[in-house]
Amino acid sequence: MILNDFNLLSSEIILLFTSLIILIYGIFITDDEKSIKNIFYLTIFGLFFSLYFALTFDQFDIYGFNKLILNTHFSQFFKVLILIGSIIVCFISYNYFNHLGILKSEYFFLILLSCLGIIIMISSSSILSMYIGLELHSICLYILAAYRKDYLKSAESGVKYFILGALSSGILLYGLSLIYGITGATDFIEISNKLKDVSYVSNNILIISTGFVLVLSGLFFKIAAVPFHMWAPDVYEGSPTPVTAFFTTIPKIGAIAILIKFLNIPFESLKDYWIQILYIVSIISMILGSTVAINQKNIKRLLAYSSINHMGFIILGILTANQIGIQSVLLYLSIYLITILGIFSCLLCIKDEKNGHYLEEINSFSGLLKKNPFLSFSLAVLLISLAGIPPMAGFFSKLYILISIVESKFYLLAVIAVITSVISAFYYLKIIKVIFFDTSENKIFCEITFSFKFFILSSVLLTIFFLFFASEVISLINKYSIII
Amino acid sequence: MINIPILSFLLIFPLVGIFVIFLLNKKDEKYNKKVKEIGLWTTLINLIFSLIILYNFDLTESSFQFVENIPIIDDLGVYYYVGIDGISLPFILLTTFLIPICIISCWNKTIKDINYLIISFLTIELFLIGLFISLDLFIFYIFFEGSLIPMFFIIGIWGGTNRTYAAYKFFLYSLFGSMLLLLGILTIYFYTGTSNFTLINKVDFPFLLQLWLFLSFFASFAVKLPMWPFHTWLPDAHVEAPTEGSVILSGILLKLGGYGFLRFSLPLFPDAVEFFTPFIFFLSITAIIYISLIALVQTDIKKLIAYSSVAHMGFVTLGIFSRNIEGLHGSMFQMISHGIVSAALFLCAGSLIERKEKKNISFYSGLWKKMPFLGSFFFIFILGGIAFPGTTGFIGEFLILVGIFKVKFYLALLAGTGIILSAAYFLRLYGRIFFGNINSNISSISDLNNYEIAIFSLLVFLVILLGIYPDLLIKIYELPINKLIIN
Repeated sequence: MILNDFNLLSSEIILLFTSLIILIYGIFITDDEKSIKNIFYLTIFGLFFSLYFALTFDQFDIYGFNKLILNTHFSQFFKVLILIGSIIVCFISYNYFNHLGILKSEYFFLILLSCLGIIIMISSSSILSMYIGLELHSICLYILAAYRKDYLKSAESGVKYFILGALSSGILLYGLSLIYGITGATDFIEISNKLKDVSYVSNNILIISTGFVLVLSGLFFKIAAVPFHMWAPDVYEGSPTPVTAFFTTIPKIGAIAILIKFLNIPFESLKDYWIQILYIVSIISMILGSTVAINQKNIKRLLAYSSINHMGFIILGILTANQIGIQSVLLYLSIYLITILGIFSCLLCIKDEKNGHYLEEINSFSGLLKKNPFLSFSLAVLLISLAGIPPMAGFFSKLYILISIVESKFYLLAVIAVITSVISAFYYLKIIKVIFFDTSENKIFCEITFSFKFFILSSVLLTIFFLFFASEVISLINKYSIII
Repeated sequence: MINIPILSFLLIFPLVGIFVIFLLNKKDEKYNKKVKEIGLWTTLINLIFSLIILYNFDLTESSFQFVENIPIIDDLGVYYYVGIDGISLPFILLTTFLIPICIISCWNKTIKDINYLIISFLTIELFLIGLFISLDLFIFYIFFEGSLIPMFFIIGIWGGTNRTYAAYKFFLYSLFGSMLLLLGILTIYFYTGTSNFTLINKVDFPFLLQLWLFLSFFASFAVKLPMWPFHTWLPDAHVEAPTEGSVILSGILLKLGGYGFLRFSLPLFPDAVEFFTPFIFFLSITAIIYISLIALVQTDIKKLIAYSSVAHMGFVTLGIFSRNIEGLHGSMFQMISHGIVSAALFLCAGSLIERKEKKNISFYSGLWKKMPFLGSFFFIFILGGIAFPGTTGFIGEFLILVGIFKVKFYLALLAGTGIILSAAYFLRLYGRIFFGNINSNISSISDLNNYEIAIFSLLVFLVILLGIYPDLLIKIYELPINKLIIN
């Protein structure tokens, strides 16, 4: 029985042990390049091993550890997505930190541990394990944000993230305690059973709705949906670029997964309430994410706002509360992951020729076309895809979201989504404009190693030729979009 | 012949061309020349293929031909469903004809990053052909909006001083329109459960839904066409775009709106079309008169031709929405004829502007003595523009006027003033540039080179051929257009 439980968590256990080995190994080594490289290989090995177990695990809908953990198709899909994302982030961060001379074993330890936390959170089936996973990865993220100790903005972003994040975790925990207090259950299914009783709910509606809203705010903070988005631009700008790539994708994907699960399992009976909340949040996220980004000068800040806009889109898919909505979210997240990581891989290849700093100001990209057409075209394709223009993959993700909301007859939302995506096309084009149209030439130095070339090329090809395998991807997603 | 996916070949060749250009060795001395050759050969092969299609096209058949139907997204029921009828075939021929002309036109020029320009041409050809052959609404939309990307780059990279603004304006305007189109397509998809055009064609939509759907389609096509209050992107885009960009823009991209009206709006939403007809007539008449007056005071050659395009497109919408046989035939003819004539006019203006890099009309005068070849070609194209009998322009506008006369007399009267105004602004343009004393600015200007003469002769041949023997073109689209009226 116990063995079976461990079997359920095999990919998590591998991650845990790899991270612990790295921690212990890190104590005994000096920070020379060779041993760091060993740790890097160890991390990649651990992640791949974990990915292998996540992919091959085929016992679904089984509870483990006293109903703390539930492995479903849904959680497996997200597990795979997150592990793939983490592998790419590890690859693209190596050069960056090595260049700055701050690559230490802790970095990989933290990435692995936060990855572990997210995976636990995704496969949780109880508010306890959900909170454990959430807190485990959050604490790692605070440290990761402040990882560049010598850089003031990085420290600032770490502190900012920590204070706000701790506050939001507190709020979330308080909400969970209210829910526990009123239902007397920690298990998702039990909570849902309790809440199905209409008279019980209407007698305690104040406490239930307070607890519920508090939990939702905590989760919205994690995905940086408006009005809980304030931390995102500063933290994204201050954090080291690979960490920003990590922030934009992996924790958000995890938080979306648990948001879907939390809304659709324990609070399924309160659907009418949370649809209204999500309705408002999605509208203001889309509007703010698209308008405020227009004036951003720093590409990381711009991507922060653009990700707020994308989260608004994803919430649209969630609020339809039907199967096609969930499918559209899964498709959106997969394409989003590929595109964003592709963009960050490109950004991590572009340096200033004079001082070797990585370029972040949008205007400093002028002249990239002359210097490196490959990077310019890749960035253009990926940005056009983010803007949702066919035939790139981003179009299909937006199309699917629009299909789900038009099917649920939220026409106003569809119109707003369309308008904001036109506005957001403007700032993606702004970057393309600087690269392709501006004649002033900045001194740029591009260094593309093999792994970068591989990631960029594969993400670009996947983005352009998505149409040809869309059918396979969507049928795969249909299979994995069953939550319970 | 039917078993060969001949329409897909039209899409595959440009794609192959793009890949070959990517594979070429950039350090090669003759790199630029090789790129141009590859571009030219690919587009010429496409032209030959489209002529083969024309040869095998069954003129007595009004339904879709050369149909291919391959599932793409099973889950949504989206098919790669392509086929052509008499309405789309002329546009395909126009596309495959104009793109090689653009490539020949930049043969002798030194253009920066010529490889990217050729790639953009091939991409836009791919998207445009895909758009005209697709019969699945989603696939149509993908090609329709995808065609923005290469045009955005063509204006933005090779354009004039204010190119960024123009490129943005073009892109965002069109994107907004086509996003609303997407919502319309989605609504149709959920109402009918399919995105297959022939199946949707059999469905009757309720009146209120028709109104909304018509407006969502209208938003996109009116921006593309462009109709009067939505036209403001066009002059900017034309002025800033390079000559070849203007040719593609006015020659083909503007026709997408008219094509959309003919293909989708008329058959799918007949009641809404009837409801909105007075509104469209108002917009078209305004476009014809008001825009012609604006064209009359332009000081920029390209801007004048751009405004004239808007006015001519006003005739097209007038003809389409008159919904009688003369009007529809006239609109169809006018679109193809305008595609040739305005492309030719922009090429003429381009060959002038590229010699002196000035777009002002007042900069040139007495050019006839220096450039008699250009003068004579330009004159024939201007005759086409002012609908002079014997040129293509005449057939189209005459038929449209007959069609609109059947609807309302005063509309025909108002539209008729448009022809007079077009003569005024075109002849003014011509007179200012070619007659009068020789301006010292142009004392050293040289006449057309062989490439330009070859291109212009070809275009003149077409303008006159279709002008005196319009049946050549009318035969192709006659049946499906007639079918539109019966339904």
